[in-house]
Amino acid sequence: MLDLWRQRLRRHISRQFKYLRLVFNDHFVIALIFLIGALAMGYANLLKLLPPRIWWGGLVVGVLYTVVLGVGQLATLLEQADDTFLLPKESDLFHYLVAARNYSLILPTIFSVLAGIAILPLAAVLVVNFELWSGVMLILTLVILKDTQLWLALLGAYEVNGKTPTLYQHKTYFYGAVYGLILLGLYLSPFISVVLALAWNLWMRRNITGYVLEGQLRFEASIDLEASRQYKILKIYNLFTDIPSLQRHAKRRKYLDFLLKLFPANHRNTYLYLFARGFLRGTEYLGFYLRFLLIGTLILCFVHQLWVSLVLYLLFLYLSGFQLLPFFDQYDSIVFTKLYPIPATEKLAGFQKLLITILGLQWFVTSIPLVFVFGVNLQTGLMIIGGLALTIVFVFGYAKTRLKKGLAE
Amino acid sequence: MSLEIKNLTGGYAHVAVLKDVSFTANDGEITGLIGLNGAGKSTTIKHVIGLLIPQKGEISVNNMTLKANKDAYHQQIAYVPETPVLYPELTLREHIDLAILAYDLDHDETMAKAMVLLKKFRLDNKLDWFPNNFSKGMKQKVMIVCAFMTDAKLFIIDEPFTGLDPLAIHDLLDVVEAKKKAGSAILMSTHILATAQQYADRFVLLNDGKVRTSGTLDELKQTFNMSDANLDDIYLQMTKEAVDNHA
Repeated sequence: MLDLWRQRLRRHISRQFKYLRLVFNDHFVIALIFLIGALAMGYANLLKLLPPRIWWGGLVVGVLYTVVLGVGQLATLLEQADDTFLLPKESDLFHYLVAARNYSLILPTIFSVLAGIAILPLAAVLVVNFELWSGVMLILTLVILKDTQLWLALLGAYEVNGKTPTLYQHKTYFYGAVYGLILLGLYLSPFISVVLALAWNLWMRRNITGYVLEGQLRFEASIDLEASRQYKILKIYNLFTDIPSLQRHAKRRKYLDFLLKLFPANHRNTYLYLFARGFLRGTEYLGFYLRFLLIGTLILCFVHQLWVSLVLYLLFLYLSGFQLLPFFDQYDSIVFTKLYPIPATEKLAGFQKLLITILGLQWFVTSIPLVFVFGVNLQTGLMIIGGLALTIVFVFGYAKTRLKKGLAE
Repeated sequence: MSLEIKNLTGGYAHVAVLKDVSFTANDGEITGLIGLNGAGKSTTIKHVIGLLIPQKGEISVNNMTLKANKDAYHQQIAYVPETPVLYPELTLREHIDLAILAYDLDHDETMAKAMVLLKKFRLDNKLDWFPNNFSKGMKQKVMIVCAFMTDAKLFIIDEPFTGLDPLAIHDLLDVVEAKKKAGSAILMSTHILATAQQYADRFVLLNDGKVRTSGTLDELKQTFNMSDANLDDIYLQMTKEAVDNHA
């Protein structure tokens, strides 16, 4: 069973690397460096504005520490066919799952440490009596809690007498308990957090074997959980490259139907008809677009340095358009799309119409904070014209050349 | 003469699945494309609809070829694939609308035709659903409706009987029969020989990427020297030959 785990892990990791290579190419790395730089600068600015050592500082910092634990789930790498093929091996599968749990600990641990370090300066400003060693202790607490959380996730894969232990499983209870522990650490002593987290962890570990021996693996639920976990990862990769195995989901979103009336339905707009509906009802692109739009607008409200603001303004437009490009190929696997008696150039034209509408809206919305922050003057005017120019060049220049490659055959 | 395939050699990348395949599917006739798994039925169909490009040979529909005018060629063809694939984000009504737009058909007239078909296949109360969440058979019905509401000259149906319930098979054959009477050519690949024998006018027997023989049932009987055989017997005879040849 452990061999099976190792084999799957090898395959999983090599697949991740294959996709990651595709993710970190193009202009994405440059965009990312800018984004991180801008975020770091914004963070530094924020620290200067905050009131030092205030009584509610711990409450805020506690929330941040708790949120850190939300990153990283149990990666079981279970596959669809497992409930048929591995059913006779159910009891052996425990060793597999333990190995999976141990592996799942690696990335979140690294993340907890990094995030813990990132929180340090904020905590040092906001929290009363916060020293370096308190930060280190709290990071240690986070790591122990992550370990506990993954044991809980493993337990959740089992049921005893048809029941899963909801009290442990319930996310609200878990995060509530974590928040409490962190608050104890911030307001009394970080030592208390470490000791209590450790006690909880050891108690979990002592009980787990007995519980599993008594219980039964929830095959179907565990497989579904893993499938949805992988789906989330693939969805991100899918922004950069085409993931063939990705099964798309759609939501009806009837309340958005009025937007579809913007585009007249005629033969020339066949692809626009399809793309507009796909965009508004698909679960992939609309969500990312709205996030870019919302976060972009908010950030631009708070940035007061002209150049930083300009770079971010253009960057958000670019990223938003960039993430939409793979959408162009979305329907190529559906045979009818290839059979339509429509020239390939119409497909590009339809896509560009959608793209210019979407990015045009973003250009308009994200220009509003610029006017409020920098006032009505020549500078602002030039920035906004720059944004419009980028949008137009992106849609009719960059997108066209990039997508034409796909049309060539 | 609607569909004409001349000396087609083709397949995937460098593997030639089809070797020198020639046959025709005439207007006002149902042509049954019969063969074992892997004989090349679906590959032939993929060549006809233009998903694969021939290595050698020529395919024409009413003397039009894909090469000469891709869009005019596609305008003449309606296709029902074996495995239903639908747009996840479109409702049933929008699938119909999209096909109307794509083939530049008259909206109201085509919608009326579609409604008749939808009623027949008991889908008329599901117009605002996402058909992607339907069962396999129902998805297939959606594709049948979208294909048969058009005025295509050539209907291509890949393995139509496997996912449909008996009532739906009956309804499909009705619809096919009507298109045949209206003068269209129908090319249908299938394994369900009893049904094929009953409805198809002519047969093309594929084996190992080659046309073993083609013609009406009577002509097939002569070729195989089996005077009182049915399609089933002839099919088995062909299978036996194939096994003998391999041995």
